[in-house]
Amino acid sequence: MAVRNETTMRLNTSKVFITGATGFIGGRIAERLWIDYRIAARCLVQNYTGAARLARLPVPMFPGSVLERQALEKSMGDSEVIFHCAYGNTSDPELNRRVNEEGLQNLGEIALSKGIQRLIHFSTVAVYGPQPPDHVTEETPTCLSEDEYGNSKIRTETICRELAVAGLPVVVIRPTVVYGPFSPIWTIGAIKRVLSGGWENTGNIHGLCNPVYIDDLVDGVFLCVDKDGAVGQTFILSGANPVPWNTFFGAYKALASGGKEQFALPSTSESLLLAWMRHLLRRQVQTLRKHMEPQLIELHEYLKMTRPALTGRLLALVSGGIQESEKVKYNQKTVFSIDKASHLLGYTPRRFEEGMKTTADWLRYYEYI
Amino acid sequence: MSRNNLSIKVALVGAGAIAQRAYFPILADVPGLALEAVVDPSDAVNGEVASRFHLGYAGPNLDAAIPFVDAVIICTPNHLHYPIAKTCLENGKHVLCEKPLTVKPDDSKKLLDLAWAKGLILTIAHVRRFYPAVLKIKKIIDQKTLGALIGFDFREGTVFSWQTVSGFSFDKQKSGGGVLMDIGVHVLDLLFWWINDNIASLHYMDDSLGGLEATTDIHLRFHNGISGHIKLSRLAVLKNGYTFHFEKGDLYWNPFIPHRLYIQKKGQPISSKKVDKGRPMKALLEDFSSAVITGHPPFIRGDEALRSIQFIQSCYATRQGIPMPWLYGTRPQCD
Repeated sequence: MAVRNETTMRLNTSKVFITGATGFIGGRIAERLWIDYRIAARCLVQNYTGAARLARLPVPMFPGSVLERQALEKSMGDSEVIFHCAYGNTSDPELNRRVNEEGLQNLGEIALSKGIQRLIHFSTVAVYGPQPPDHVTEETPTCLSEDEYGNSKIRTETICRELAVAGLPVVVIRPTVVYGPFSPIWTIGAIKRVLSGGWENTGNIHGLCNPVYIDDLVDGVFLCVDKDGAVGQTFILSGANPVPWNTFFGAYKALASGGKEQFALPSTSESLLLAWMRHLLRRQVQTLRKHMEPQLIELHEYLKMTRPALTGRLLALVSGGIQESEKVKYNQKTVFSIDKASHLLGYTPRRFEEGMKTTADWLRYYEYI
Repeated sequence: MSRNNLSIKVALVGAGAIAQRAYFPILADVPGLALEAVVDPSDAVNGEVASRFHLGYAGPNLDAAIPFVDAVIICTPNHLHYPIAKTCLENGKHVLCEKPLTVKPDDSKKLLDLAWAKGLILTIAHVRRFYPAVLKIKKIIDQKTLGALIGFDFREGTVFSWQTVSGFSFDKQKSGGGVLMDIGVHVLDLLFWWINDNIASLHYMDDSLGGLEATTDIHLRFHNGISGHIKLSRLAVLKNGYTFHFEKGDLYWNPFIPHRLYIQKKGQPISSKKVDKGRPMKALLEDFSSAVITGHPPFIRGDEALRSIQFIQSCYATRQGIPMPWLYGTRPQCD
């Protein structure tokens, strides 16, 4: 655990406001605030559909969006600290851009007018573009690319700098691969991927993953509130150790198979033929799915009940492991440095192996494995 | 009574998500029922409904709707079921109420007494009872086709995706509870109807942290010795299905694929049995209509709803937390 120094700001006695609290990171921040400090954070909720996890807490929920200034002003109330986790994740790029950029602008201006003492803004390491160098620090230049999400986050960081110049105590966080309980991509997505045979034939994958356990990320952002030195800074928050992508997905594979090898597919001579067959099969399945989804669900259930081994093999055949388009990503050897967070904040995240132990308990309880 | 001799004029109160999804699409197909009034606080909703149906009344005032109708269907948030049902019964109207009948058992009891005193029908929309597979399971249990029932394991979990219009599902005062008061009411209604005995022991756990539970784990035993486990969640897709353990084999049913049963007799391979899909929502409304016209009891009696609500209260009263080692992060818990 990090050692805390004497500072002027204390999270444990603060009034807190969270945007994006129905999401993975915002939801965990709300939980940890309640569990650690009995802080019932005020939560902005754009859509109640995703509020089941948050509603387990006795926290006030306020309907609205970061694009609605009145709703923002009301829901922020007399808060002193803001964790801004909301971001645009719809299929409409223009709406996403507005939520990310105009939403932050609205939030920042209201925060300035209310004299907010800390705004923690969640950015991403996607600001370094799709092919970052092997060693990345907060000083590494950001890079515009074809990734609208990363580009939009670069623009939000610019807005943060402008808000800081105007006097708002802002901290920018760039999380890496955030995994752990409820992580939609790197835990739920990862286990589903390996269960459906989506991480097979990985002999030519040699890249590195920079995983950070969700509670380490939350520890890090809490430290950003308590440490005056964090104000105006940007921090990369990753785990203690990068691991090969094969180790990352391998950990999920081991959980999925209970230690046994699953869905062994041919790896060399037959792989091209299989890839072609898969391509055809996938197209057929997509067409079928459009017109016959209930029947396919019923067939899946029937096979699962009566021919469980066959179901696994069929899924593996359709899914077929790493896609060609993913190979660049999974062969990058980038290490995201956490030196700055360690020195300035006293940030000491856990090792990947430790985080996966807790993640495994969670996956078992919720019957993913 | 109605426009024609066989029709009952009904008012639908609360035109939110459940009404839009389950009732409006089917009401016109139910012989014996004529939608005559809609009561909703939203002017926009009332205007939209009035343009789709030929109504005597569409507006926010229940008292204004009551003179137009013989019966009322209540689809409001849970905390409004009691006052609305009470007003309707006091005014001599039959009631079909969405589940749960009320949030508090005492209020259910009061409604049952009122309906009895006035000779009115009071039934609850436990629509799953009208699935043909559910009736088939009841027969298998009662007729001991697979021998006596010994135990059960019910799992039902989905990531909550109900497009709630009012957001009441996540307001403790309005919903009265979390997943147990929501999906749990359906599951418990089936369980108690299938097994029809009193509870001998109960161990209830959930994941509430002071708000509404999203996951529950229940272990219970009936006086007749049948014991089992129920796990419900709004947070994850569980290994969904209802498994029944009989003396001579197992029966499996998935409520999300309700027209198929799987049976595995001991020592034999598993076999699948297709069951008619039926039209459960239509059957529910036909049952209500028939009960009002004939005066015969409805398929789902009010006292059966009371049993589920009393059980839920027992669960909340004896609640323990689900052990969640992932919950506490790296920091010590507060007192």
